[in-house]
Amino acid sequence: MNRGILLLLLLASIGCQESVDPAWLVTEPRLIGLTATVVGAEDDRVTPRPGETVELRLLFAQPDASRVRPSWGYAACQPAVTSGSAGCEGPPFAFAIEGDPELGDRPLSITIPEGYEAARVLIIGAVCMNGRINPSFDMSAAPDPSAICRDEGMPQVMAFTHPVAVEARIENRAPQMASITLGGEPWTHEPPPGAGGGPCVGDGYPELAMGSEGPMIEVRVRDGDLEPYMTFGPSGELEPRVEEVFIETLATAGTLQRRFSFITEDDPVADIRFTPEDDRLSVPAEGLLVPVWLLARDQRGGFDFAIRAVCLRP
Amino acid sequence: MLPAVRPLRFAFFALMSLSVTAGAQEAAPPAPVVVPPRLLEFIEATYPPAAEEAGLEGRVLLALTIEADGAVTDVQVVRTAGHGFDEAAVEAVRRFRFQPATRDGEPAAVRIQYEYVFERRAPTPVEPEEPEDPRPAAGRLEGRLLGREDGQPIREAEVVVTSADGARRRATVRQDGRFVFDDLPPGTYDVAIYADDYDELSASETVASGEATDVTYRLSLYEVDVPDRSGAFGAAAVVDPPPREVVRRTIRREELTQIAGTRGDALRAVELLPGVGRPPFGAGQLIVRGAAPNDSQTFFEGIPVPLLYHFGGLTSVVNSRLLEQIDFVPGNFSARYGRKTGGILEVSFRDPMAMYDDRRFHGVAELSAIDASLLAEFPLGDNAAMALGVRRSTIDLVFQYILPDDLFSLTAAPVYYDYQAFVVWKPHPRHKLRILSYGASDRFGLFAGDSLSDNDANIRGNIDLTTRFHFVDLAWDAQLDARTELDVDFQVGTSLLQFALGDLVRFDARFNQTFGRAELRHRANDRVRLIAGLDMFITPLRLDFFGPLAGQGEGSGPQNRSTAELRDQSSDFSITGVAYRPAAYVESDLRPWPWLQVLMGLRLDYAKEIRQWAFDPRLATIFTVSEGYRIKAAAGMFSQPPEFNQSAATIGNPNLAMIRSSHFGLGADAEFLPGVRVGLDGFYKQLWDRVVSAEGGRAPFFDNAGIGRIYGLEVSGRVEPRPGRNFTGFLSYTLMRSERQDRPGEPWRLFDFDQTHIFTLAGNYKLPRNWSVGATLRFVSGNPTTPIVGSIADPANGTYLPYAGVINSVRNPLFNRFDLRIEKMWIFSSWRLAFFLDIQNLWNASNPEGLVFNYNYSQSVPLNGLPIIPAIGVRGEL
Repeated sequence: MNRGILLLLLLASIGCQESVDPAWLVTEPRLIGLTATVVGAEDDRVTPRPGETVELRLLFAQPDASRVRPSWGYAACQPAVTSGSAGCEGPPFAFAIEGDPELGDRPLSITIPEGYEAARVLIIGAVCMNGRINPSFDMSAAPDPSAICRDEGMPQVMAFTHPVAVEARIENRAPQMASITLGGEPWTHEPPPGAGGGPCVGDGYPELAMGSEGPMIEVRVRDGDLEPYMTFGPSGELEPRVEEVFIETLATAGTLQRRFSFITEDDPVADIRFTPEDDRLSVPAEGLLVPVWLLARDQRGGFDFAIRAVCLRP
Repeated sequence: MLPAVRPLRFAFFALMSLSVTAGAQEAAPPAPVVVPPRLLEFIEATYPPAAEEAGLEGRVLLALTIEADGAVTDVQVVRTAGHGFDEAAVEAVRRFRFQPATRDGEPAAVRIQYEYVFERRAPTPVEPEEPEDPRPAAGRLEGRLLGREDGQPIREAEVVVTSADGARRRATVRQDGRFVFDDLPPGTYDVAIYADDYDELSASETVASGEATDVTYRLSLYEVDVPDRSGAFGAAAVVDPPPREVVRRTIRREELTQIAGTRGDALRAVELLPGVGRPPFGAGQLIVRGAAPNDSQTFFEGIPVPLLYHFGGLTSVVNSRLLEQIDFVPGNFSARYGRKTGGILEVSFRDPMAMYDDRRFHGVAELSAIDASLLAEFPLGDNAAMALGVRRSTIDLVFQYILPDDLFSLTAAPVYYDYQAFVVWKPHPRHKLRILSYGASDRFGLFAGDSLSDNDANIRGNIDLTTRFHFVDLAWDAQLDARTELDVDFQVGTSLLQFALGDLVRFDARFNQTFGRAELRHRANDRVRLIAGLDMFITPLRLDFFGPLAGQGEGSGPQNRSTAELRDQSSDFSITGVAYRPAAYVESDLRPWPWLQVLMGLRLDYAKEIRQWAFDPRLATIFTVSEGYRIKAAAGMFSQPPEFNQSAATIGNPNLAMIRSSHFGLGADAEFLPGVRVGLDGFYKQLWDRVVSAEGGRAPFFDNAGIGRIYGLEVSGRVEPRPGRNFTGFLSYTLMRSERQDRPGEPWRLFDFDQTHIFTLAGNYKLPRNWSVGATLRFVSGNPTTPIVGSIADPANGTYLPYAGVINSVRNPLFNRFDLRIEKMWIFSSWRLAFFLDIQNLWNASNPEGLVFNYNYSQSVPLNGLPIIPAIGVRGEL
């Protein structure tokens, strides 16, 4: 397909995308991100060195009071350079299956082999959101998705890479959202677990009347979170860069201006308008508590997240 | 009493020199004595009522094939006069009877040009009634003599008329070139014209009782150095080479510019022909008989061009009014063409001023919501003329109101222009030199400050697509002797393709294209014609690329790598080199019997970048069962080098082989009624050594493991213009299946653009007072698509990717579209004004081209095709 058609498709999809649920709207249990922790690291470094172990903890969002009880399996390997699907260069050096949903919130633990030379590690796996994974499934071959989970429907297949600090100059630390404001006021109101979609229980949540003008959500990261770093450029040489952090915003109701915003050296504030309008629901008299997830990624394995809530009133 | 407007006056002339028997070159064998055909029976055409009512006159230049028995078997309009004159002239000339031309005393078939002149005649003054004379009233023959080359009156000439009973009268022309014979008894007269320095001309004219017949004869300069002109009676020195394919669909500009849904763009109408698939969103790709767009090639006068359409297929890159005709060969093409395995589209340009019978400035201006264009034509001395055309988009002025302000800011979107500068010089009747300069540019750009997509944060920044080319072609067409023709074409130019998608992809390709072709055609005798040619494609190129490795595009299904992952695996490479692709070909056109034509061809190609030769034999036969009924069969082999990025060492495989294909065809066509033609063609194509992604997509990333098969049936019907027939149109239907196998042992799958049924019905109806209305109806099977059965999460980047099912195992819904075109023209004394309304997709069919998904592909809605698009335009012609 030539690039002209791709462009047309993109334009057409932009015009038609409102017909499906917007990407920032959480309507079902959803894998939204992962945190990385290097075991034994003295700081918040997220890039393991060869020989170190990194723990990747999966994060889920759910629109209501239900709780995600996942089971999962994965394999980790050196990614192959291909022009097609993601694949391993050589056999996996780490794999695990956690079939007990009650233990599904434990992290994926990956030990980087000594002498590992690739700048990234590839993780291929699957998550059964609320059920048990088939312990015999093999991620090294393209699995039949319908055979991965034993007692529920389709699994959530996943494939991603995580950076490895094969040189000290490309190490990375996680960013942290230092300031979150709503309408210019500090926004610190976290909802209780599973409170999404329920009435506005408790005090202090910012309240917004449906149809009123929406406030801006503003997010800043700490000074120094936009780290300078070295990365292997296309030519294979290390090149200097400065991080950019993108903020992902998700909500269960209302209207978000967009899903992704960027914090850069030139624009240190990510701002997203939250408008109390939603044709999909009617807000009860007791109000509707809307959780808002804020996720920060530095695109080098660094991750931070926060949950806030706002109360919608009729 | 004569009516105020006479229905018809006519004149005819043989445009080129006639018999020449002297002056053979020393080394040449004795030249045959050739005597031109002589008109025995003239048929008066019907003056088109609308033209008569509007007071219009016209001159139609026709090319006639006159067989050895004197019958006219083929009539083509060389220069149209419009307004029904063409149809009336063709209808009349088909019924002409000639005394055949002779070569060394033997009747021979020839091709001549003939101009049919429609002129209004002033009413003859009413004479006082005389006493009734028992003899029929005498008539008058009057006319003028003009030089064909310069259009000037011939002052010294003698005109001789001979009646059926042998009575002969002579007249000497006046200083203004006019002559008059009064008091001629009604009847048919042979007219002979003798003028110093000019070829003798013979004609037959009918003089009616009480009427004056006014004629114009154009005489050609006598050429003493021409040894032999057998079979070469024409305005151009070079006889058009006959078709060399069994399925060649020739369509003339006049017919194509009236097709609804094309906005008068003749090249857009190519998509409606049998065997041509429908690209998604009308994107302007040429999909021929189930072949990928890159497998087919468009030629301008035999020279390949990189683009046929502007961005998104909005319009073609050349002004349709400069076209002479379009030849579409969906398969089994001549050995003249190579380096492609699909089909061929050959675009021929008319000579500047060829549409006009005077030598003054002419211009056309057109404005619509899509673009605006200017075209000017003017003579350069006596033997040369020039055309200048330019067009620029206007849609970019509209486009900024379409996209939402809060989402994008436009940098340039979409802006295009094209230009043409053609000069044709005929220094000698047997030589024609052409300089064609043409080019086009397209730019489309979007800028989004944050993410372009709510599904992937990494798709951000600018989108920019730029294509541009500038070419100069030099062409020399020569008739070396009566049997030998030589065409030499040389092209130089540059082309550019740039694409950028944020910081993910940057692609910059620059080609300094040089193409040359020399083709020699020699007619050994009436039964044997031999053709030999060389063509050379030499292109210094530079490719700069940054981005993820490109895999096999066709048949790869949806993208299943996140942009973040792709960026991490991006490569940066630059290729400089020279693509060197020479070729040689020979063809023979044998006619052992009048009912059989056999075309045999051999083509040898070399591609330096992969160090591969290809040798392609081709064969085609045409059986003429009876007049108008033919059976055709063809088989041949075809080769195509891989794309440059596929054979580049760093990102591809320099050890690739040529892509190969064999074509087989069997068909028949017939003309059941005058101007009503139908055809049926079956075809089978086999593909092997297709370039596909290597196993697992790993280095060297591509190999030749793919194969394919395509088979189908094409039905074509056509109603051509005829006198008294206001309706013209065509029908095409293709039943086809195109399949691919990417690696041995893998299951066969459908080609990305496999379209089982392609049905088109198009027509145009001329209404009184210069109104016309046209409609096009189209039904096409939806393109295959790959179902999405799940998603692949990338929690590190917050994206979800599609988890694809079986490639191309489902289809989009049936495509259907109805287009309408209405045009009204006002004719003034020295210019014309036309208004047109061209509505695409009148009933606003949704025509889904795919699906739009939510973030994790669990919801989808149809991705609709192009909605109703009305285009209003105005055109002025000077």
